[in-house]
Amino acid sequence: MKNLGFSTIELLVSFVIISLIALAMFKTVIDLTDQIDQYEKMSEIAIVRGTVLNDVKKDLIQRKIYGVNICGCSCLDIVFQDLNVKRLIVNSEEKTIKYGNKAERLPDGYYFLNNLMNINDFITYKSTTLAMPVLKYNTILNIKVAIRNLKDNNTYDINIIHQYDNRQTGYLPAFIQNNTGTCD
Amino acid sequence: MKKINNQGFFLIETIAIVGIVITILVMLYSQISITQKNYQLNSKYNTSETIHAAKTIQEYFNQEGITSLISDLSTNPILDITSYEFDTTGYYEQLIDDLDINKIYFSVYDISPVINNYITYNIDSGMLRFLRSLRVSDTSSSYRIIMSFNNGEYSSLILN
Repeated sequence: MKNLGFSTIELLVSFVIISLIALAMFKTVIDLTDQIDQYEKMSEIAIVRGTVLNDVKKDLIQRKIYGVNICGCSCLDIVFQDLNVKRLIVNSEEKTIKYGNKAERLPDGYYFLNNLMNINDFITYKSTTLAMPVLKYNTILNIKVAIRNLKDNNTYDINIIHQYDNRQTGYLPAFIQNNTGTCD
Repeated sequence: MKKINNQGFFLIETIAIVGIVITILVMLYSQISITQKNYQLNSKYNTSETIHAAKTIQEYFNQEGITSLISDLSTNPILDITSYEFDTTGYYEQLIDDLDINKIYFSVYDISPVINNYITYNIDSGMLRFLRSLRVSDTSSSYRIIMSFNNGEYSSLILN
């Protein structure tokens, strides 16, 4: 009975080819696992951004904003026309952003970026009032929390923009900013 | 007595099988790459942030009125209104700046003519891809606000 089987050279070539394929597959699986992890984190950061933005915008529209006070580094007190106050605060070390009683944590790999003016301040606040005609929006409120990722150069900022007429305060007098803290 | 073929595989057979496996892997990888690219693009379309921005612009339009824009649409299906002078106080300009908007367009609901003649209307490739992703379900007489942002995100809102 003829019993040739593999020659040594055939075995070696096959072994090398199979090793190369196994290596390529292993690398592909590792890459895909990394990407799945990255997509999970992208979904998480989208949820954090959406949740904070929706909560703040909902209050600004429904409860009507009266004004904003600065309560220290990375801290804003949003005052509504019912005179209730809700605090927006960023803790860069714990990687959390808290609005009212609700706190959201950034996923791993994401971090808060300080604003250009102050390395200790992680919220950029700006309010622009322009000479618009009566009964039209005249003020644009801009609250920005800059978020970056360690791996890519994309921006994941929470950018809260709200327009309102600061002359329409109901029975209340015009808002005078009364900061309860500073950030030096 | 039946003769048993006990020679094992030839090298050429092994290479053929390996070739087939490699082809399947390449096809699988290219499909995954396409899915991955689509995911990355779609994650930049109509995010909660850009929808809020579009709603803010809509509020402003409701206040200022868009009658003149609608009449301008009779000659062009899409208008670039990034630098449109709605007011003289610079409010609209400030709003565009604060919302971090790169381009803002006002268009008819059915954007097929824009897609077919995108060069005429100076539509870049990123915006074209976004326009192609928008669904046109009927022949509505409404309008659209279409925006691109400086961070690469896109948004569209239908105005009734």
